Amino acid sequence: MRILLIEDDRQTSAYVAKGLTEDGHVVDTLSDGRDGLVQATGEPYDLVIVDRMLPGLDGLNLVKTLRGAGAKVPILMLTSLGGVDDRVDGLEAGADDYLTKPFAFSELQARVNALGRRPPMRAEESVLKAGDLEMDLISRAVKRGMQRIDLQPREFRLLEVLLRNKGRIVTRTMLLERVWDFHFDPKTSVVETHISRLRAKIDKPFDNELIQTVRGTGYTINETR
Amino acid sequence: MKLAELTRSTAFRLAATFACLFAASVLVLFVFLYIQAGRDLEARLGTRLNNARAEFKRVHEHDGFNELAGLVADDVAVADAAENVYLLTGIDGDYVAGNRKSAPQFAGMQWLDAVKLQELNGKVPGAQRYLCLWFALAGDGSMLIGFSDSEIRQTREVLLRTLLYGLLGTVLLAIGAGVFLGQRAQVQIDRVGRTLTAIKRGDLKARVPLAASGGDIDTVSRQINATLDQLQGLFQSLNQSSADIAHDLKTPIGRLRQRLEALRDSPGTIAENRPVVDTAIDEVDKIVATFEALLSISQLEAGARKLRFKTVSLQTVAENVLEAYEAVAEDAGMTLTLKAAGSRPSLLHGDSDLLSQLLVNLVENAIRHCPAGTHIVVDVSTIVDGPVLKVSDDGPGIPDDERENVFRRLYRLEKSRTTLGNGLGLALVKAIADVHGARISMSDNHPGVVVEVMFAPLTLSRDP
Repeated sequence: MRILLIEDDRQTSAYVAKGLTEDGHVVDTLSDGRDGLVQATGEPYDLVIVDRMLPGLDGLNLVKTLRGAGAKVPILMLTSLGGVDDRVDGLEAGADDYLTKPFAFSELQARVNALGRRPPMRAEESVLKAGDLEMDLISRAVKRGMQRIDLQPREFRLLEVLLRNKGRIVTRTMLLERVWDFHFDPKTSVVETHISRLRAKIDKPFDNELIQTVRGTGYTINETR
Repeated sequence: MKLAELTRSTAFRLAATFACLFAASVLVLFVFLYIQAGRDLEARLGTRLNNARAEFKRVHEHDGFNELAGLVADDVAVADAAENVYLLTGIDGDYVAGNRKSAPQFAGMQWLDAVKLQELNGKVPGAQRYLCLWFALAGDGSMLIGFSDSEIRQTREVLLRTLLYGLLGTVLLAIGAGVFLGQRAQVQIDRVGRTLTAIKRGDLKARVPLAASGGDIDTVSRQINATLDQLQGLFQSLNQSSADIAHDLKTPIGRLRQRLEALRDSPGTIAENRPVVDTAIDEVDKIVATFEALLSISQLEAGARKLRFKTVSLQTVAENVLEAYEAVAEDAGMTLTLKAAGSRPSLLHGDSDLLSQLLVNLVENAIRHCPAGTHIVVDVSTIVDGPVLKVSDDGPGIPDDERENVFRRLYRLEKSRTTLGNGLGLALVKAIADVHGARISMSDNHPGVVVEVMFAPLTLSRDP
């Protein structure tokens, strides 16, 4: 993927760029908001990562201007700690996702992959599959092989998020946001509890396990077999 | 006190203004009096002149010209030439008798300067003026009589002098009163100033001394003192929480350092040391979480989040949180149930993210501090005063005397110091309740604890 990283803190910038390059992405880095805007409008990027606070032109206005110019490129915004309004501000400006600093690199990786390689999944797609697991979003029926599985509403939503990101890691934080709409870090194991219940229903009774734990990061469903 | 300071004082300015107003009104009165008195005296002088003319005419008609000349000569002998003017002329206009040699001719009454009236003995005439009148003596020439204006001038002088002294007295009195009042007020204001300076220098215990009289400056002083009391309280709690924050962060940072040192001295490979690195990262995450919570609380206290408030259903928020936590409670061997009374949706003006966090913190708090077998109940209802959220448990409860402290930042019950958590959960709950204008209280549930959050009804909370 071709990624434009606009971040004025050189250490963060170098760290993120190095990590993403090791993942096989091509990363251009800029530290000034105005330069970043020019570069983002002129070149075809697959993803733009932009810091909220930038010299020249701040991240929010950069994103607003970019979206105002009709750019459809996915944007990930990096915000600083404790900015309770930053998430809403960023999303309202037109960013697709946000990440609060300091973050684990694996969290950034997961979000970059989720944003950049959006599968050609159209909105009308109504059946999600992984191996012999089938999920019908309209009839809300879940089957594994020939066996019907009953899921609670949140378990259903959890499975849907994992399946929509098939082959990619979904972090604990991403699940909290997308399944429960919790934008804070709970102190108890909400995600783990629900994953374990989901596993008990869709994995335990069967030979191979679809949901894999990625240690310290999150979960993934892979097309195994 | 310096003069410049004094003249700037409110009381002094007030006194000066009144002095000016009073002086102006006195002046107007005096000018009126001056003009009126002058006119009155002139009119009286005219009457005297007419009377004298009538007298002289009567003598002329009765006793003849020579007798009149004799009378004039007698009068001149006793009268003060500076005060009275007499000139009797013959038919040809020549001097016959009187204390003036000649005078210009005119008709009616007229004011004449002393220089126009030539004196007999060639004395240099004074500065006074005379109201004069010529009258003809049938067949025997004519006569000029005149009276000086000295009486009018004296009266005017007296009036002017009175005015001057009066004005001077008024102004002096006003200035004196201004200085006195200004100084008294300034003393009080200086006391306030000195107190504030002391506060600025760091003496938070300084208070404005109150005067016994209890004037309006005292009222202000009392308010300043009340504000200072509150400030001091806030400052102390801020100091306390800074110390608490430092203490609470020192422990994980210390542990982090130990782990890093252990890692440096460890002969193992990175893969072998992975558990140590993982715990070190966990420590960092805990430190970050503490900061995040502290920053969130301060931002909430700043209140900007209110701008995003929308109509929110408390029941929907509770249902969502319950769906997430029923399973968590169950795994901990507890039950978590939602009691939503009635069909009312419990609407309020707020932020659903924050309300979720409030409820999550309360529920997690109960889960973390209660033993297995505890029943946790979330109760959403709407009373006349607005929506109410209650989270209760039948766990071990907390001592009465510690209950009011639980909403303080970084406060932890002594016994739970060692358990997880950064002591900010309930402080955040309080901050969220505050930003929603809600009242929060914790009480005994016999057994256990019940936390009650009372929100304002939708119509009222929209415009607090």
